[in-house]
This record gives sequence, structure tokens and C-alpha cells, in this order.
Amino acid sequence: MKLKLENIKMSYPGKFTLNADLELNQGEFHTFLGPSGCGKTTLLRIIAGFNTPDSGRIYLDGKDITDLPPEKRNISIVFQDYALFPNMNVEKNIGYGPETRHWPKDKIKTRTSELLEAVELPDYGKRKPDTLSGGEKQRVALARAIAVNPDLLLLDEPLSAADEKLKGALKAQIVETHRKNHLTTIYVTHDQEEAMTLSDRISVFRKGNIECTGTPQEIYFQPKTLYTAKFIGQSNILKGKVLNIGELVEVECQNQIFKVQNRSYQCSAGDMVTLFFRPECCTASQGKEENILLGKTAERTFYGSRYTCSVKTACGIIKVYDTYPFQLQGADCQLAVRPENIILFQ
Amino acid sequence: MRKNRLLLLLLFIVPFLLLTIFFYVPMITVFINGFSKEGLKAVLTDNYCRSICLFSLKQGVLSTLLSAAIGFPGAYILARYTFRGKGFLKALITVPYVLPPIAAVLGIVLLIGNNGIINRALMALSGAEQPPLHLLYSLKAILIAHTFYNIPFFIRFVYPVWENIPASMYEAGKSLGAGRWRLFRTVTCPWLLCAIIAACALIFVLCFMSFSIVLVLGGNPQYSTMEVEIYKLARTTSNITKACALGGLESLISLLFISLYTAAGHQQSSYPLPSGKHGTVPAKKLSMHHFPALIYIVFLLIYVAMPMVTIALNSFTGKSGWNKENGLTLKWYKAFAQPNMYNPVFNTLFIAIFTVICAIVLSIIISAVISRWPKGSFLIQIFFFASLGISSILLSLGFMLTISNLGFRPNGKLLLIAVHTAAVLPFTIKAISLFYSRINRRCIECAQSLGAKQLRILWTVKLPMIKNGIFTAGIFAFAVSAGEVNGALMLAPEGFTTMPVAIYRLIGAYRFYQACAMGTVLLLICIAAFYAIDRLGEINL
Ligand SMILES: Nc1ncnc2c1ncn2[C@@H]1O[C@H](COP(=O)(O)OP(=O)(O)OP(=O)(O)O)[C@@H](O)[C@H]1O
Ligand SMILES: [Mg+2]
Repeated sequence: MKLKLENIKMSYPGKFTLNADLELNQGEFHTFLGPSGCGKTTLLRIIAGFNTPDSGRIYLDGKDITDLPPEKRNISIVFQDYALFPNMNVEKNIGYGPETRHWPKDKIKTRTSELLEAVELPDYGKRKPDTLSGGEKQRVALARAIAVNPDLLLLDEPLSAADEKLKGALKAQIVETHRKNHLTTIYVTHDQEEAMTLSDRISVFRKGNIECTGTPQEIYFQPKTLYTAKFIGQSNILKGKVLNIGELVEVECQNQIFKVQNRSYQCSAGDMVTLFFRPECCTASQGKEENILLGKTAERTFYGSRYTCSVKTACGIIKVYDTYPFQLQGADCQLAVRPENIILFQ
Repeated sequence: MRKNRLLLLLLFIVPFLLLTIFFYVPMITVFINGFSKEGLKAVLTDNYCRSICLFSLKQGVLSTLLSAAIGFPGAYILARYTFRGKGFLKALITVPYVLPPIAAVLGIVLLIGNNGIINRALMALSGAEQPPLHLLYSLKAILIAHTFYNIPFFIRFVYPVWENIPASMYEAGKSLGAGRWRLFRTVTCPWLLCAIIAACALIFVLCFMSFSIVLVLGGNPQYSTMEVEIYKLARTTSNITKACALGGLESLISLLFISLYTAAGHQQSSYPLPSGKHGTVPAKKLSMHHFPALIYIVFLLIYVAMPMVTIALNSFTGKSGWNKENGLTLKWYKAFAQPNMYNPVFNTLFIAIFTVICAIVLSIIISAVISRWPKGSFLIQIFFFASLGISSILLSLGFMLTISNLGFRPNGKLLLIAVHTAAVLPFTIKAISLFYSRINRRCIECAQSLGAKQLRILWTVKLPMIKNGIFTAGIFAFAVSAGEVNGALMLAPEGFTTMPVAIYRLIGAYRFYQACAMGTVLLLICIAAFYAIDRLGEINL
């Protein structure tokens, strides 16, 4: 189902205020990404109906659900601590929603066993939640949430209690569930890797506001704000002054001229701007490219699959993912950054 | 959301009104009467009243000190040693929690009375003609009964705290060179201080307000306490104002000690709990070298078990009155076929069951309100916990006063249920709200988002989650109601006798063996109730 949040506002007594305006497409896997305390859970709870916004409207498939109580919204939620009913066994937990809706008994039974199959816990029906491991609980919680074919599935940091290895398996489970059921899903996390790998689109939160929304690629390579750029992945950030505007914008930074692809920036010559590019956009120069930087390799840090290397240049330290020429510490090196890989912020 | 809140508020009005009508109105009537000029004058100028006040305090203090002093080694032994039968000892010292005082009184009379087991044994041994011990109807008898209750109480209160002193405290002390005595003085004592103060404050209040023990075992007017005096004054309706004044004074004193108990308990609960595998000092095995400890354990076993065993054994003995045809018999149990024996059983069950229902329903509502409105929980608790410092005699007196103003007489059974409910409410609220506050709110929200309405959530999620609290509270309420004499003596309608009252009357008529049969049945009912509590979780008083 399509979800539309229109001018949602909510404040807690104190300083925190949430503002949200957002539209989700049918079947979209959407992630709320942001640091702790930025209001992700609060917005999720507003959508589920546990918190009442001060103003604004929520539409689900065009229908205004702002004033509906949670039990009438058909929106399922999975919490970080799973919140399984401790007094019921796995089967009863999963069958709770259907039972509430007065499905016939045999239909509940088939639905339950079908879901247990789907989350790969076929023989777990009679177990009590306190005998399950964290990963198993998570899967039961997921099965319980989708048992009623909800219009919208909300997941609040469902993986944060799992270890690295389990995370992979559970992620696959979530993706699978989403794909099979074509459920519009909102996923909350503060882990950017989870956000990148799972989502169709990501909303980056900052202190109660949605800073920007886009596909993982957009968010990563063409962030709309400096905050987003800094929040996700590694970045190189330099200050400079605009010299010339044309097809390429020329920016001067410590006597080094950068040529930057013009994305219709609203700036004029003489403005101070911030340049941004990713470490992986710095390549070893062949000597003929635009934006060649000269420097010496300073520090190298091993990350398993790669090294990260700091290169000391005239315009400051530049982070680079290690490639062949810079292996020696203190070696001279030549870097190149393509104009389309540099973004300017005012 | 808002609708639910409104509903809860409406629901909250029920306990609020009930408590106002059945507790605050009568109590305020009592206090208005009592704290009037005449009331205070009647008490303060009367020498007899003054001596009674002093005696109440004196027996309370003595009982408390004795219980603490005798209980202290017991707490140490249970905290630091393991031995065979430790589980049994722990279970045994929990029994006095639910043993109705009138049953204990009966056991003690049969033990230490002039013609009691101890005297007869001493006479047989020494060949004396006269009973050597004259304990009954004296301060000593009262102290024996109070220590019977409160030594176990003290031990049960203090030993878990002792057991849970983090081992790291001792290790830190030892590494700084402290010896055993110094560790005891600098680590153990300060750590236990709050628990001991809390236990003593509560014991003092219980002894200070104890009724049936003093009523029967004190006997003599000079060994009367305020509580008993209020009862006597109220029953003869000779001087109600004086009774009210005494009651007001008594409530003030007990409230003072209850706040001491609360403050100390609060302080105690802020101490850190031990964590990890080596968190607590491991218990040592008790061996023959520790013979003082062994003697103590045997003493404790006998002291606590004797009154109960006496009742049970005597109920199978054929002797009645003072003639001497001995032999085992079931005739006292066969007497339960008579209405004067079986009616009290049904009456007691009737009152107890309704008390349980009322107390639980009210406690659930109040717990729900407390959990929804944490800021107000302090006020709510004060409002509903006020009955802690008020004796049921006083409340009954309040009812009698308000009724006489009303001009018609409400059902005595209803009033009795109200008195019992008010008495247990602080404890049942505590037991249930403890579990209620542990309900995972997100479970409720999950149920909601899965489409469940409030009533279904209550039935399928909330109630099962607080089930243990409900059982604990219910059984506690049952045991208290089943053993209560004071209110039953004052308020029960003509011809409506409960088991404790029946026992009291049988004692008064010297029909001890029949009383023992009744007492044994009552004891069994209460022990069964308590056994169920222990299975379902600890009561946290
Ligand atoms: N019931 C409440 N009353 C007052 N303030 C609250 C309440 N719940 C949350 N807040 C505040 O609102 C802000 C947002 O909280 P929220 O739980 O939505 O953050 P979050 O993004 O989910 O963080 P996390 O990643 O830690 O879960 C925080 O500053 C928090 O302190
Ligand atoms: Mg959160």
C-alpha cells in the first residue's frame, strides 16, 4: 500500500520536535536511517498509531488513518526486543492476529504452519518464547507480524541484538519476506550498511527532521546535504572558493584548482564552498586527467578487504582506498578525482 | 488512546470511591471524635489509659528487641551455611506468616498453661504437686507469642540481604588487611543496618497493634494494650470518644514507624546487588564443630513448630475438659457434622473468597492506573496504603460510628469484607503492581497493531502476564481474611461466626480440644494457601 505522511509534527515536552513529510510507494522497502535519538522510533510509532501527532495527516492508500486507533490500521510492527507474548507458544503467537480477526480455525492452522515453514522453524510451534534464541525469536516476531497480511510492515531495529553472522541470515529472511509478500515495509536502523544493502529508498534523519530521501546510490554518491554526505561512508571534505562557473565549476583550494561538474549550483564567483568526494573516487593518476593531486602517503590502516590510506597533499589530508602505487609509507603519489565525482555544498 | 485513558479514569473512580466510603469516611469520623478536646483529655488525664499506652509501647519494644536479638544468629546461619534440612527450615519459618494469631494463641496456651504440656512434663519429672511455671496471663506469655511470630519474621527479612552482600566488599576489605571482626563491623553491620531497622520497625508495628494475642494471653487488665482497650471500650460502648482518641494516638505511632520502615526499606533497595559467578560469599557446610549453630537450629525448629504441633496433636486427643481419659480419637473432627462447627468454616470461606475477589479486582485497576500515570503513582500509593497503619478494630469502630449516624444498618458481612479488603489492599496492590510494571509495553502494542481491542488484550496478554502477582495477592488476602478476629468480633452479624472467632469462643469456654480441631483445619487451609504462594513466587512485603 502507498503511505503518505503530510506535514507530521510532534514534540515531546522538552526540546525534541519531529517534522516529517514523506511518500512511500506500493511495495517499497524504505529505511529510516539516523543516529540515536533523532526520532526514528517516534515517527514509526506515529505511523503505527501509538503516538498521536500534534498536527499533520497520515494516508494509507489514499485513506486518512490519522484518527484510527492502532488496532484498526492493519499495520504490523516488529520491535527490537521482539515483544513475543511470553504466555503463549510460538504457534499461538503467530496465530494471535488471525484469531483476533476471527479467521476459521483450520485457516489459522494452515497459515501458521505455512509461516513457520517460511521462516524455517517448522517444528517450533509448541515451544515457548523463553526457550528460543535471539534469532529464532526475531523470526517468530516477523512471522507474527505478517500473518495477517498487513498493509504496512514496520521493523524497529530488528537486527540490533543479533551478532554479525546471524545478521546476515536474518537480513536474507527479511528481504525474502518482503519480496514474497510485496509488503510495503519501513525499516529502522542506525547501521548504514544494513540500510544500503536492504533498501529501495533511504530517509536520513537529523534531529527530528528528514534530511533527505533517495535510493542508496543517490544517497551515497550524490548526497543532497553535507550532513548526509558525512553521515554515510567515508568522505573527503575540503573548503574552497569559486573562481569560475561554466560547464565545469572551478574551485580554488590552497592553490590547487578543482574542476567540478556543474549540477546547476546556485553560486557565483567568489563564494566559499565545500567540496566533497568519496575515497574510492580517488584513483592513481596517469598524468593526463583533470584534478591531479600530488602528495605523500602518510598512514595506512588495514581493514581486511582493503587498506585505507591517508595522503598528505597541499590541500590537506585526503583519504584514499589503497591501490597499487601507494604501498610504501612516505612514497610520493599522484591522485586524480574526476569532475563528476565531486559535489559542492554551499 | 485518549478514549482508553478516559475509560481507565472512570474505572479508577470505583476503587477511589470505595476506599473513600469504606475507609476514609469511617476513619475521619474516628479521628474527628478522637482528636477532639474531650477525647484527648479523656486519654491524657486518665492514669489507667496512660499506663496502657506505656504498656503497649513497652511490650512492643521488648518483643522487637527480643525477636531481633534471637533472630540475628538465625539470619547469619541461613545466610552463610548450608546444611541438610535448610529448605525445610526456610519453609517452616514462613509458616508464621499465615498462621492466624488465634491459632498460635491456642497452641501457646496448651503449651505453657498451668495444665499445659510443659508444666505437666516438669511435674512428672520433678514429682512436684503444683505447676512450677506460671507464664500465662503475663507479659511473658505475650512476649513468647510475639517472638514466636517475629523471630522467623526477622530471619526471613534479614537473611536474604545478608546472603546478597557482594563478595567484592569482603575481598576489598581483606586485601586491605581487615580481620574477621573488623570485616563484620565495617562491612556486614553497615550493610545490614537498613534491613534491620526496617524489620524492627515493622515488627514493632505488628506487636504494637497485635490484638488476639494480648486479648487472650494478657488476661489481666494491667496487661492490656491500646488495641485491646479500644475493643473493650467500643464493645461496651461505654466511652466511644475515649476509644477514638486511643485509636488516633495508636495510628499516629504506627504511621511513624511505618514511615521509618518505608524509608529504611527504600534506602536498602538502593544497595547494589551482587553480580556474576563469584558475586556472593559461598555458603559453608555446617559440621559438628559448629555445635552452637546446631543447637540454635534445633531450638528454632522446636520454638516455631511446637505451637502448631501441639494444636494438631491435641485435636486427635480424646480428653475433654479436665478429666483424664486419654486416647486417640477423631471425635472432634466428627463434630464438624454439627452446624456450630461447619458453619464457621463456610462463613470464613465466604468472607475470604469475597475479600480475595474485591482485593484483586481493585488492585488490578489501581496497578493499571499506577503504570499509566507514573507521576501520580506516589500519591495513589499513599492514598491506598494508608490502611497499613490502621488496625481493623479502629476501622470497625469507624463503621459503627458512621452507621449510628446513618440511621440504618448495612449488612455486617459486607462491612467485614470491606474491613478485610482495606487491610490487605496495600499488600495486594504491591504484589500485583510489581508484576504489572514488568509487563512489556511493546507486547501490548504488538497485540494492538495485530487488531486486538482493550478487552481482548487484557484477557489474552495482560492477565496471563500478571497471573503470578494475582495468585500471590489472592492467597495472601485469603490467609489474612481467614485468620482475622478483630473485625469479625466487632462487625459480624448475630449468629455469623468465623473460624477464628469460634476458636476464640471455644478457648473462652475451655473447650480446648474442639478448638484444636477447628484450629487445625484453619491451619491446614492457611498452609495450603501459603504452599501455593511459595510455588508461585515470593511475596515482597
Ligand atoms: N515518551 C517520551 N517523552 C519525552 N521524550 C521522548 C519520549 N520518547 C522519546 N523521547 C525523546 O525523543 C527523541 C527521539 O526519540 P526516538 O526514540 O524516536 O529516537 P530514535 O531515533 O528511535 O533513537 P534510537 O536509535 O536510540 O532508538 C529523543 O531525544 C528522546 O529522548
Ligand atoms: Mg529507536
